[in-house]
Amino acid sequence: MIPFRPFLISSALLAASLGDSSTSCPDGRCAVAPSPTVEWRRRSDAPGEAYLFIDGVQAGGYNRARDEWRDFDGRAWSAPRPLFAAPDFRGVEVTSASGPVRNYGLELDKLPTHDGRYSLCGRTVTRSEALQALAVGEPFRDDSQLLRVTIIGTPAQRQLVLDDFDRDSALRAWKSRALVSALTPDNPRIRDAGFKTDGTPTIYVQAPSGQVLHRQDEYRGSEPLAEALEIADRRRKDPNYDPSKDPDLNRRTSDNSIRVRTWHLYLGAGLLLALLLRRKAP
Amino acid sequence: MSARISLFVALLSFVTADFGASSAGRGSFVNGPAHNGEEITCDLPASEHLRNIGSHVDQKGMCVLSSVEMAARWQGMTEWHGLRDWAAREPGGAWPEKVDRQVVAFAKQHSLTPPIYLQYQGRDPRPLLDAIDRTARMACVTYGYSPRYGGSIAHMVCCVKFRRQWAVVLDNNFPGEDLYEWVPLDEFLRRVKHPTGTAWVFVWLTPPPPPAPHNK
Repeated sequence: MIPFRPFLISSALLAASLGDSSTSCPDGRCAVAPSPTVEWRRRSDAPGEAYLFIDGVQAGGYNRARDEWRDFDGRAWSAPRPLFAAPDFRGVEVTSASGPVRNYGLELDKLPTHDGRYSLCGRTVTRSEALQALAVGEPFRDDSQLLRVTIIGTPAQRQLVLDDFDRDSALRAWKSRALVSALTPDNPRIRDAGFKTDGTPTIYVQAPSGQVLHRQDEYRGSEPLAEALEIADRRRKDPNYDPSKDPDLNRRTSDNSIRVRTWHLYLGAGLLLALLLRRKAP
Repeated sequence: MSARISLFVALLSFVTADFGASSAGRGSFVNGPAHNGEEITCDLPASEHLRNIGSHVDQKGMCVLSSVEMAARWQGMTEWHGLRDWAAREPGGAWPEKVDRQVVAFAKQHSLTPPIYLQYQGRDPRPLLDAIDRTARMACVTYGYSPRYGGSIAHMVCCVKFRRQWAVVLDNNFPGEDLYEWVPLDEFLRRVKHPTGTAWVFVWLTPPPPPAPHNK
């Protein structure tokens, strides 16, 4: 990996600007190609970032806090990568009560043994307090079967909808019946998954499987959204549906097909064993 | 008689054999995000994996916040990118109360509302790990052994799958698309509690990423 890529880009550009002297230097005088204009630009709303422009065309950007460089090809940003490669971390050899241990970041003497301790945001809670705080019958809310509501837009667009989920009577009840997320269009979990993001905002209602049950590209108010949620909830697949329990009303009772089940085989094997032993008995 | 008994036993064995059972249930191995028709639950792109580092202050490891930040990235918490590197400006090594302090401090410094998260310490992390996987979130768990290291370790990793036969580890010492460690569930639980006898689990309670949209 090339360290400090912007410096090398500038250096490479400088070297290239000196040109090939073999054919363009008559009489020993070399024509110097014009150097590209290299500039770093900043944005007032992103103080920790700098953007590289070469001849007025953006080539990439750097985030100092995260040590992340991204190329920009005019359409899309590349995946981030560090400019300064960190050496492989090999841990620290420590001695614990159970013998030598290579430590990669735990303070073992500050990890007391607990026979089941929960903490919510730093506050130790008893199991019953955890249940009360989460208002569900388990210490961890199983939201895996809830409808997914995803609001994609600017902060103001998202907040308008979120406020209605908190305050409006039509939507408030859905907070416990749906998993509501508000994300920016460039969030990797949105951008890379194929969501439409150009609404004002875009609001998706999905089944847990991901099937899109409803999408709107603007916010029409709490009651239309609540209505859409109601319809989507009715139409989505019942997670407890078992096709094997479907009745077949055309199936004849005189059907001669035999379904061999496992217990049939055990019974047959047992009878066979009994027969074999009985033949042996005097 | 003995021949007949042998025949019976052979027949019984045939009847009871589960031809779908995996024969690789004992040991762990390194693989990509899928194995024998099973896929990991939390498929964080490799470009967002973090490699563990030592603190800039005392070189002690940053495995805990490396894991915690990867879990935040998985759950779409983009405002929390940089948490690990920010914390590396302090002495390294972590425990639950230090994580509490650093989450609050990072949130305050970056004008964020601290998200809800849960920590568990105890001898029976299985129900919580079941629930975390079922809800498509990413668990951060202590990890005390792996053949990769050849001995006991004090480490925290991400658990990107915990269901059916396998737990799968995203180890911040071995980030990468093809470097997941597949571990039989019971063996994983043993490693999570080794060497102290108890596990420490961290999970963000923010919503998991929405599933990729598709039509009926």
